[in-house]
Amino acid sequence: MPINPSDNRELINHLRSILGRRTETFLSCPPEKPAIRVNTLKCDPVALQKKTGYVAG
Amino acid sequence: MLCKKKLDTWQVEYEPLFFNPSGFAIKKAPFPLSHTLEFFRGFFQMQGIASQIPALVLNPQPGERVLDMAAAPGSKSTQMAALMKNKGQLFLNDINRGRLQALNANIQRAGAINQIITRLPGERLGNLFPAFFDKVLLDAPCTALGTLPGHPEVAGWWNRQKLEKLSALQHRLLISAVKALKVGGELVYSTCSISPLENEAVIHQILANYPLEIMTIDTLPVSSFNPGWVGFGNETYHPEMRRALRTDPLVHGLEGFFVIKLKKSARSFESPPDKRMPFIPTFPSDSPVVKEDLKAFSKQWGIDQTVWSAYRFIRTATRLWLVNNEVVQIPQNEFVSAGLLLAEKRLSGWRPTNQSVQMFSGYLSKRRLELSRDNFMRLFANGTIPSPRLEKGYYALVWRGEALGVVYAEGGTLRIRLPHYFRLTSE
Repeated sequence: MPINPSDNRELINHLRSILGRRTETFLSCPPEKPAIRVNTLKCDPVALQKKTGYVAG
Repeated sequence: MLCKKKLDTWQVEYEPLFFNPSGFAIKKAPFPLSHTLEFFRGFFQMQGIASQIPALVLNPQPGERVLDMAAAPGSKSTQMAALMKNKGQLFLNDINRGRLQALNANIQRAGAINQIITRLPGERLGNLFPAFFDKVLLDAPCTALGTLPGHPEVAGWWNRQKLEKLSALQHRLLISAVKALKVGGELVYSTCSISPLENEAVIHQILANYPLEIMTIDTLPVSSFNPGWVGFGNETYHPEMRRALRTDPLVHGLEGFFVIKLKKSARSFESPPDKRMPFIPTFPSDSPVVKEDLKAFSKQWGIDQTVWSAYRFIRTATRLWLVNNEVVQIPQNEFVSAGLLLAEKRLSGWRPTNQSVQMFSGYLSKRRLELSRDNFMRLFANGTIPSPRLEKGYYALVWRGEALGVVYAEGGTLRIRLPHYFRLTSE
C-alpha cells in the first residue's frame, strides 16, 4: 500500500514549520535523478577530465 | 576503461555534475547500470548526487588518518578512498551488522586497500581513539526528511519522538567525533534531513560546549547551494552557521542535505591514553607470519613474488588480507576487515577473490581461463556452464585480456560466485 505523506499530520506540521507555504510543492516535487560516480581508483582521472572538460575541485 | 566512453556506447543520457568531475546524473539508461561488467569491476559506484557532497567538503588527502563514523553502506567511504588515492588510513565504522556487509562488498569492489572496518558504537570512538584522526566524516543517522519526495515511505515511520531520539543520537555522535579529532583536525557533519533540529540546532548546541570553529567550505562552488540557517522558530543559531551548505529539493532538484565543516581549535575532554583501543600489527611480505603463504599463493597462480613488497598483510586462520604500507596496525576489538581480501585458504590451496584477481590481473601467469563470448555471457547469466575438459580447481576468468573473477571447475561444470544482486545485461 503506497504511503501518502499527507496522512501523517505530525510530519506535515513539522514540514510546514520548516517550509511554510512551499510544503505541498515539496511533497510533489520529482525525486533526485539517479547518479553514478566514476571510481578514480580504477578509471584514469586525467583522461576523464580531458573527456568531460570538467576540472576537479 | 574510461566510463564516459562506455556511457556513450550504452546510449545512456547523462550530464556531468557541476561540482564533481567524477559524477554524472543519469537522465535515461536503456538498462540498469549496476548490471554491467564495469559495475562488477568497480569502475563506478551508484551514488546519489547530493550524497557526493559531504566527502568533497571533507576533502581527505593521501597520507591522512581519516574516520567515517557511520560508514555503511559505503558510497561516501569509497569516494574518500578514491580521494585519498588509496594512501593513508581510512577507518570505517558502523554498528549495523547487515549494513556492514554492504559496506564490505562496496569497498572491496572499489579496490580500496587503505581501509580498516570496525563495528563499534559510534559514541565510543572518541574515547577509544582520543585525538587520533586528521579528519572525521559524521554522516549522521537521521530522519531522511530530505529524501521524502523520492522515498515517501519515510512518512510511514516519521514522528516527533523519532526526530528527538535521532537528534539526541546525533549530538552524542558529534561529541565522540570531536574527541576523536586531533587539535587542528577537520570534521564534516552531514545529514539527509531538511529539519534544522537535526542540523543547525545540533551544531549550535555542540559549539557552546566544545572547541570548534565553523569553516568556510572551499572545495566546491558553495554559492550554488543554500546557506545554513541562523534561526528557526524562536531559536537563534550561531551567525557563522551561514557557512554551512544546504541542498533544496525544490531549488536544486536534489535530495535535501545539510553539510557543515568544523575545525577543532583546542583539546576537548579526551580520555587518557591508557584507555585507547589495543592494536595488532600488520606484516610486511618478508615477515615469517605471511612469507610462506605468499610464496605458496604466488607459485599456485604464477605471480612474481616481488609484487608483494609494496604492501603489508594480515593473516587470520583462513584468510589473507592486503593493505597499503601505511596501515601498520589495526584495532583489535570489533575488527571486521582491512584492505583487500587477497585469498582464502581451501583444501586445494589459496583461492583468490574476484577483486584480487582483478587487481593483480597483469601479474597472473597461471590458471588463466578465457571463454568464448557465448559461454562467458551464459556463465554470468546462470552462474554455471558445462566444462567437460577442465581439470578440477580454481581458475582466473579472463575476458578481453583482463582477469575479472574466480571460477571453479568440478565434475564437468564451471561455476562463478557472483553477488546475489548482480545480473549481467550488458558487456
